[in-house]
Amino acid sequence: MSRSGQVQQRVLSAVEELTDRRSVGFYASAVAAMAEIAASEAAAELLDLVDKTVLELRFELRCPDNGRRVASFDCGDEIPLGKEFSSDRCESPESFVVDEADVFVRFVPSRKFAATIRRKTSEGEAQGRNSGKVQSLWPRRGRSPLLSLP
Amino acid sequence: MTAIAVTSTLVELLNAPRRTLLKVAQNAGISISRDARKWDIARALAEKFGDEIPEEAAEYLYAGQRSISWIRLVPESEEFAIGDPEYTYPMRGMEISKEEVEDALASEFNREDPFDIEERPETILEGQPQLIVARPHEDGVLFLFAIAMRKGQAIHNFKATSVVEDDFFPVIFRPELGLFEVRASADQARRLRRTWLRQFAAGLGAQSVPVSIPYSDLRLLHGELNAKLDAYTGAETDGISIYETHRYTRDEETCDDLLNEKRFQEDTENLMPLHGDLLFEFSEEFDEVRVHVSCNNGSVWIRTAVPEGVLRYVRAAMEKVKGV
Repeated sequence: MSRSGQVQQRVLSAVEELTDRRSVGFYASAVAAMAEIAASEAAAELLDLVDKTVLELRFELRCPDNGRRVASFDCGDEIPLGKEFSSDRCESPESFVVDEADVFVRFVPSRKFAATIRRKTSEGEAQGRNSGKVQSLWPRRGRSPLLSLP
Repeated sequence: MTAIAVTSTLVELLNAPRRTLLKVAQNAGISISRDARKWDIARALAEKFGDEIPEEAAEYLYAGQRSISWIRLVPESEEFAIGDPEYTYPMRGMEISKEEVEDALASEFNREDPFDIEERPETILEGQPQLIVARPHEDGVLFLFAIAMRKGQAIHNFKATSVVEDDFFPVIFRPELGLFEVRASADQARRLRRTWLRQFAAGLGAQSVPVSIPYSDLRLLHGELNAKLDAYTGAETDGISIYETHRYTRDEETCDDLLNEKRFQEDTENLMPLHGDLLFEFSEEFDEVRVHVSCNNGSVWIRTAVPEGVLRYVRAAMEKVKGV
C-alpha cells in the first residue's frame, strides 16, 4: 500500500475508534496522535472525510485567556469575527475581540457514520467476536487528577 | 467635578509600579505620604521633573508587570491561509527603513516632525487604539497608544453614568526586524492589529501578522531561561473525556520542574497545550520571575513587576528560540 493509502487507512481507523467510543467531535491533533502522522496530514485527510459525509465540521470559539469553549457554530453559521464577545466561562469578566486564532475546527462523526459504526460493533458483539470491535489505537491516558490523589 | 489635564509624562509614569514611583519621589526629596495613591505620586513626579523622567522610574515605564505580544510586517502582496505556521511562526518581518517610518508617522500626525510631542489627539476613542506619542527609542521607535475602555456603570445622585477610563500602552517598533512589540494585554494587541496597525502597515506596503508561540517554543524558552515549569493548562482533544481542560500546578515540595517529570509527560501527552507558567531567576533581586506563556493567544505575560532589563532578557530568549 502506498504511503498515502496507509495514512488514509490510519486516519480512518482513528476516526472509527473515536466514533465507537462515542466521541462528540475531535480535533485533528487527536487523530494525528493516534495515527502517528503530522497534524496537517491528519487535517487534510479529515477534510476529505467531510467531503465524503463521514464527518461534519463544527467551529468552536475558545476564550483566548483560559482556552475554554465559549460558543459553537455549525457550518454556515456566522462566526462573530472582529466583534466583542464575552462569556462567564472566561476567567476575565471583560469581553474580547474575536480573532481567527480563537476559532478551532472540530470534526464530528455524521449520524449516518456513527450508526454504521454502532451497527458494526453490535454485530461483532452479537457474534461474540472481537473482530467487529474497532481496534484501539488510543493509548489509555493517565487518569483524571482527582483519581490520582493518594 | 473639574477635569485635570494630564501630560504625556504623567501617562508614562503611571505605567511604573507604585512602589517604584514612591522610591523615586522619596529619593528626589519630594514630600509625599507613604500611603499616597499612585496617581498622586505620579503627578508629583511629573510636576517636578517635567519631561525628564528619572532613570529609576524610566526603567519601569514600559516594563513593570507586562504582557507582550509580537506582530510582524510582511509584504502586502503576499497571500497566506489563516494560521499558516509559515507566516505565523517567524519573529522577523520585512525590514523598514528609518526614513519610511518617519514619513509614515509624519503623515499619521499630519506634521513635519513626527516626534513632536506637544500635540496629541483631543479625544480618545472607545474601543480603538490611538497613537498619542511617538519617540525615538534605542530599539527603534516607541509608540504610546491610548484607548477608552468602558468599565461599567456608576450611580451618582440616583443617576446612572457610564464609566469610561483611558488605557495607555506602549509599543516598540523595531524597523530592522519589521516587528512590533506590543506591551499590553493580548486583547489590546489584537485590537491594535485590527485597527491602527492595519492602516499603518498598508501605508508601508505591508500587512501585519501576529507571531504565534507554539508549545515547542514554550519548551525551548524553558531551556533558554533555565526555567522551571510551574503550571500548565491543556485541553482535551478527543471529544470523549468529561473534562474540557486540565490545569496542573507544581507542588514545589515534591517537584522541581514539571517538565522533567515522567508523570507530567504521561498526563499531558494527548492534551492540546494552552498555556504554561515558567519560573526563572534573573538576578539576586529578581530570583523568581514568573512568566505566563500563552500558546493560545501568542503572548508572554510577565507577572512579576520587573524593570526593562528583565523584559529584554525574556525577549532575547524568545528571539533565540525563534532563530532571529
